[in-house]
Amino acid sequence: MSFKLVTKKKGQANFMSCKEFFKPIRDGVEKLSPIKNDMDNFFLCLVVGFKYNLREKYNNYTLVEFNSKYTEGFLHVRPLINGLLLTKIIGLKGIDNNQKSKVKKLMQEVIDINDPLNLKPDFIRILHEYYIGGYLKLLSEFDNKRPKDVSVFFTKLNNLLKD
Amino acid sequence: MRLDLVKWESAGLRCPDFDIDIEKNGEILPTLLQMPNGTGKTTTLDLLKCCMYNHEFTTREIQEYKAKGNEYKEKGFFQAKLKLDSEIFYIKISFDFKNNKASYSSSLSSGGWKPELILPTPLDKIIDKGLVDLLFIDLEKCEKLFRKHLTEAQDAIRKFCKITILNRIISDLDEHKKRARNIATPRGSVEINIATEEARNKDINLKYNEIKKQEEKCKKFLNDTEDKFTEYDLIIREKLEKDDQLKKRREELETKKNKAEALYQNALLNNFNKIKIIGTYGGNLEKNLTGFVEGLDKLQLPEAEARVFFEELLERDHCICGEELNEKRRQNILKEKEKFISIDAARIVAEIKNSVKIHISENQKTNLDEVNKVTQKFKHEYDSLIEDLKLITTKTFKDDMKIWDDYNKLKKERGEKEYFLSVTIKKPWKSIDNESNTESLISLKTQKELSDKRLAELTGTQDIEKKVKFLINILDSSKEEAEMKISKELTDECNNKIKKMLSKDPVYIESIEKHIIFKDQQSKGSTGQEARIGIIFLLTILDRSLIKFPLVVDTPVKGMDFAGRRRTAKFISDLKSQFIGFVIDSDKEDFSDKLKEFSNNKANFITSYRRHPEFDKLASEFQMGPKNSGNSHVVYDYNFFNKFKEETDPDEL
Repeated sequence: MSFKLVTKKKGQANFMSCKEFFKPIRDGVEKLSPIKNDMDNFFLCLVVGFKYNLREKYNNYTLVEFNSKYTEGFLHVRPLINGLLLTKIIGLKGIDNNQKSKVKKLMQEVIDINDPLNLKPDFIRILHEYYIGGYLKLLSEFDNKRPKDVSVFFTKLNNLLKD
Repeated sequence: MRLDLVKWESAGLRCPDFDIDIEKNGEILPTLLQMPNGTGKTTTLDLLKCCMYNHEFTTREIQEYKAKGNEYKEKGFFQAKLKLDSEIFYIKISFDFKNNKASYSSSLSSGGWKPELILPTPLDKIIDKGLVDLLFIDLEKCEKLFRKHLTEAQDAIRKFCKITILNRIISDLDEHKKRARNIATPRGSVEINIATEEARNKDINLKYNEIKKQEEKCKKFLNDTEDKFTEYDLIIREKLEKDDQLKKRREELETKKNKAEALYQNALLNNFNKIKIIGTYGGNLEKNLTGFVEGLDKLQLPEAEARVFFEELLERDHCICGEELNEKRRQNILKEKEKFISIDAARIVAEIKNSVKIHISENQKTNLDEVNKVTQKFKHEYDSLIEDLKLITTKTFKDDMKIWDDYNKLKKERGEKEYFLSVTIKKPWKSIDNESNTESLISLKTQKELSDKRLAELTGTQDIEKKVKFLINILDSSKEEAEMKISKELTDECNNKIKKMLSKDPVYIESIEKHIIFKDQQSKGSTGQEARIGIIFLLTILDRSLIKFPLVVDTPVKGMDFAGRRRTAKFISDLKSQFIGFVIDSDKEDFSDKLKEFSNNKANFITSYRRHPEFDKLASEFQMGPKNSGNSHVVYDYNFFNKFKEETDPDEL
């Protein structure tokens, strides 16, 4: 399973695709922007989803693949993303951190050493649910409008992520 | 195969009613046709072109061909007589100005007049608008051969040297493959899979063609706006250079702005990189990650070696306690082993632990408020300098702000098109690409190949697919090699001619790939230089082509010095194809007399003009005065041709 970006929401014709949202602040349109590719879009939403513990039902959305693995600039972020996902899943399954056998079993369930994301498909899906959750939060923060300025975007994002 | 233009006539159009016979004593000779400015050279050239392919006339075009004032007639026509080897054929374009209609009719030697454009089959197979545009050319407008976004020079090589024939073979092979797939279509669930893949294959083709069209549009836009953009650029440079004080101030601001821009860009990048290290900016993300890692430590996870220990134990005959390992004991060990995680999974968990420990330490902490402050500070500095620059721009351009705005708008538009051409359509194929998520021609081509392969598997036509692919690969590489070889040879031949023709001001060709590239990094030649090199290129390529097409050139010695004119006359006299050059009186010196000399008097010199007492008087002096009351007159005589000179401005005639 690959990384995907959300394009449509079922039953909401005017839903703005993630690509469209980031368009004005992406490199190529905004020449100074550090947001250069779809992986960047995905990550910026995911981190918000994780922060606010927001998950959206995968089946309610249409998503389009963009990458089958982490890009060069995100390889070092992969363990942190997977670590956070594991903590979220431990929480979701109501596993106590001291239940060693259950934690070990969960790791066996979640981790796939043959997948470039190191995750099994069901859990890549959950990762995407947090990504969609984060994207919706960003959309609402920007009143369902595209950000006009990259520095304004980062200021809002920093405020959302800070303690 | 040889195609000659024998004669043409026109009536009721904006140009005078001409009847021009190119054949002289039954021979087709190099011809110079003298037409003063304003007598319809462009109209004639355009309509001659339209006789060679099916042109769809717009209402505006039809109205442009209409005669003006007293000469207006409701109907008019243009008719060309041509000869393909020994076969004579006629093409006629009739204009109905009242109803805004234009229609073709044609007559081949094999039958009477038909109400449509029909060309002899061998010609119909190879001729198209692109080729016609090269054969009937106004050298003042030959810039297409030199523009980096256009492929006119490459197309000319492909067409004249018949490389395009290989495309037809490739297309036939592709059709053969499709036919084989259709015949072999099995039934049942496979049939559904085939239908799905066929639909996808079709979608890929549609997308490919759509992007190709977009590519052409972008190239056309860049070409169409190049002169305007260069002109703006020049005006802006001149304005900026004019006031020394403003220039100095602007340069200072530019330097400061560049520095501020780099700092601001760096701050944004730094902000993004900080965010990437999740957990370093406090809050629940940090707590989640550190809590997770602490928990793992507490549980002494991952115990990678433990599983390895069990795996090694299972390979032994006896347990470490010395007891024999029977089936029951082995099962117990296996059960115990499952409680531990695999070595690979352990490696990943260890990676997570290490990463969290390395990144989330005290000295890595990020204060996002501080990051915001720094970014905003640099942005403010950058924005202020941009504003200062805008102010100075307003001062510099004062009343010409529109030029500045138009220039920037055009610059942005051109930048987007250039990005599309140089990056978007050339992105490499990725396994997750499909026809809807990419605009890369390279990716779409690979997708098509993969889809063809899949269809071949489904229909059991792998053998044909493999053979066709093999043949197409050979043809593709042959095309590439042939093009490279021919363009290299053409470059050498053209440079030899340039050396002789433009001895005083030689501008040599570096290479001819998609377009003609000048040597010494000269990106663009002047109109005169491009006209001179353009005709050299066309004469050279036409000469080496097996198909002898006529070359009809407006202003063939445009911008040339006398030595260049003499050389051009020599090349024309040696040309095996028909040559017709439209000239005006100032083009004749050291050109028409030399053509007469080099061709041993076997050249044709025609003068056609809109009737005027001054010209009629001159014709009468040569006993060649008009015998009717028409609005035009044509004189077939070298001496008259030589003597003919426009004394009055055509607007005053």
